[in-house]
Amino acid sequence: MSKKTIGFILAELEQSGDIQKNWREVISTETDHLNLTGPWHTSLLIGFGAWLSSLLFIGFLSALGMTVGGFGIYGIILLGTSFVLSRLKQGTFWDQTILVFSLSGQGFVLTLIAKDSHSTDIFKILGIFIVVFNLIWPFLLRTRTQAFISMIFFAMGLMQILYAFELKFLISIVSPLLFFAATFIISNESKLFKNSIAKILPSIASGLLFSGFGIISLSAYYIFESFAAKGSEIYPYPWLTSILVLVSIFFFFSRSKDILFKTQPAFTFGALLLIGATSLKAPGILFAIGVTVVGVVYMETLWIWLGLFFGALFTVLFLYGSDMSLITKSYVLMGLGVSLLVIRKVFNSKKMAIT
Amino acid sequence: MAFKMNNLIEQNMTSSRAKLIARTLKLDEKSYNKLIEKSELRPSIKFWLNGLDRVLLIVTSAFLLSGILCFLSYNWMSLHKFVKFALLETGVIITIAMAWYKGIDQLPGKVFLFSGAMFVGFSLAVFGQIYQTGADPYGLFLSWLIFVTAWTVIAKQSALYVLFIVLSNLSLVFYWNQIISPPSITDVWMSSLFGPLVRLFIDSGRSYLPLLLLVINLSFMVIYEFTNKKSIGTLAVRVSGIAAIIPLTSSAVILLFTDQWQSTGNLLLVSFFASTILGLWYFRFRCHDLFLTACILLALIVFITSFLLKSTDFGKMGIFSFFFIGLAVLVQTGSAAYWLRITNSDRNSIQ
Repeated sequence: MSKKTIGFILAELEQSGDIQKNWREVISTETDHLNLTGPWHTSLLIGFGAWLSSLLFIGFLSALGMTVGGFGIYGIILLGTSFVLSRLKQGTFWDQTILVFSLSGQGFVLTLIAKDSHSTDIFKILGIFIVVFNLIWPFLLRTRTQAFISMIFFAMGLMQILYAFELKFLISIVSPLLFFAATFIISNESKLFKNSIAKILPSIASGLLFSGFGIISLSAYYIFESFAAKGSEIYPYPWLTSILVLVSIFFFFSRSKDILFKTQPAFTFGALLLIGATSLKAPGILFAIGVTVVGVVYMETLWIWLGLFFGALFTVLFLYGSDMSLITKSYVLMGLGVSLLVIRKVFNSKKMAIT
Repeated sequence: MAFKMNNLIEQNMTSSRAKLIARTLKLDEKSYNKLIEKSELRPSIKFWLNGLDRVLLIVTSAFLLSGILCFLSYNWMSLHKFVKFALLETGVIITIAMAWYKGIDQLPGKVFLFSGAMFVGFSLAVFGQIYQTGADPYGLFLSWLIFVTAWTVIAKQSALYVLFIVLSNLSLVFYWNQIISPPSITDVWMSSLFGPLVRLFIDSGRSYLPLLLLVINLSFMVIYEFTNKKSIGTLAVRVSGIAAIIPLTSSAVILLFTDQWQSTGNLLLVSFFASTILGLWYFRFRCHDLFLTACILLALIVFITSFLLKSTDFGKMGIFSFFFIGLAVLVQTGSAAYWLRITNSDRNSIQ
């Protein structure tokens, strides 16, 4: 958080001619959206009400759909209603209502496809529909929650396609691709503030990253003994994911104007390479570090916490799932702790010199 | 609107607010970069290095502690019982000595004192494991509560207050469950099938227990009102509030559907409405807490919707019941949102 207030900074920018003179009026008319609508629990209560009432209403429609009309018609009506509402209404309650209508509409259309399709390739058709629909729909609806959820559905559809077309060897590159796409979006966000899709871009990027974490968690199959033997079928090349994530981090770090990379490139490369080399079989660790680093560089607080949480989780899973006795694990952990203690000592002496 | 506008521009700039403003004012890349520069939000080298130092410290401590825990787990069974006690009691002594050395008003001192309170709990658990006297589990929580009471009063620390409230509630629930009203065969079967949390829920459905929980948690809130609120912190009040609301609401709903109206049923219903009205008044006019206001409103919505579900005859109304209940939830949520909005605006005008 900055020590300066919003008003002070904007007044300074107005003086230097970087923002329009009527910024007070513009912000004043948009205050309801700018001023935090309330803490998360308030939004949660309103969201809960919107979901419950919409689901009951949809329950009414589904029961009606079984007798009059059909799922397809109601699906299109629900999708159309959500689109119209998204253009007319704003606020937490309406955002959630739109989301429920939109998700139910998709559900109805998917039911129609599954019911009426006599093809044996039903999973391929459903996967392609989910991927294409969720790539287009968030840009039409333009609500943040829908954008986030659509990206998760997109990734799920993509995985379904890979399994249905028996292209499992490509699973290893999905997470790095999602990481690359998310980082690309967030690093170019400032170029698109004038565009009406600007408000959903962070949600799209966060949705892609969240999906990336979901897919990469498959690489932690080793914690379940029954899956350990089938590891190559569940997640074929974890080392490839690690390498691609590492390349993506290097690419964006070198392109960003970040001071750590600019002043300490050898240290940054060295530290990332060391972590990558030691956790080659557990790509989740490097992925989480990448998300945290990008979060710091582009000031995305959610990403920082997401990265730290998943980083800790994947490290624990990696150490828990490693094939060692409890006493060996104890020595390894204590050895790592002592080594890091030494590294921190050296780091602190260098830190004094740098700062 | 003018008030809200002033309220907004007097807030400090954050990265999310900067992006929100950039989108609203439709800034180009150059202007946005200037906005970030003026706000001094871009991470400095000092920020990076301090962050890395902190991460290194946490990871190092986690590795060393996990290593020690693994070592102890490996040797635990072969350790003599006195060695086990010695280890845990040394933990208590070291943490308390460190809390005293660092000062209980400082963050490290607070962390050490809280760790000491946790070590007391571990010691009691190990005592119960080694000397299996057949005593009831409520004894563990009650003894733990007695041991940490003095520290809670002296230290005036939020985390210890939370522990104190949790232990008080657990002691009462387990005492009720084991001494006053032992579980029926169905309860035992349900808890063995779905776990101990279900057992707690079943217990809270017994009419006098939620009233007692309400009384003890309301007592904590009264203490909060008349003591140094800052030292106790809002977290303790929220935990206390939730511990009162959940059993009361769940029992009211269970009573509604089971129709087991006895003399306690009416008392419970009166208490439910009295406490929700009192809570809504208190958290709007005396102590502005949107979280607990939202919880109370949610409890009311759950109760009223359950009442409507019970009263609506699904057989006669058929699928239109969905429509009717959905409409009722919509109205209730709208009213709750309105109440939260005016409570929030009252809070902002005071701040």
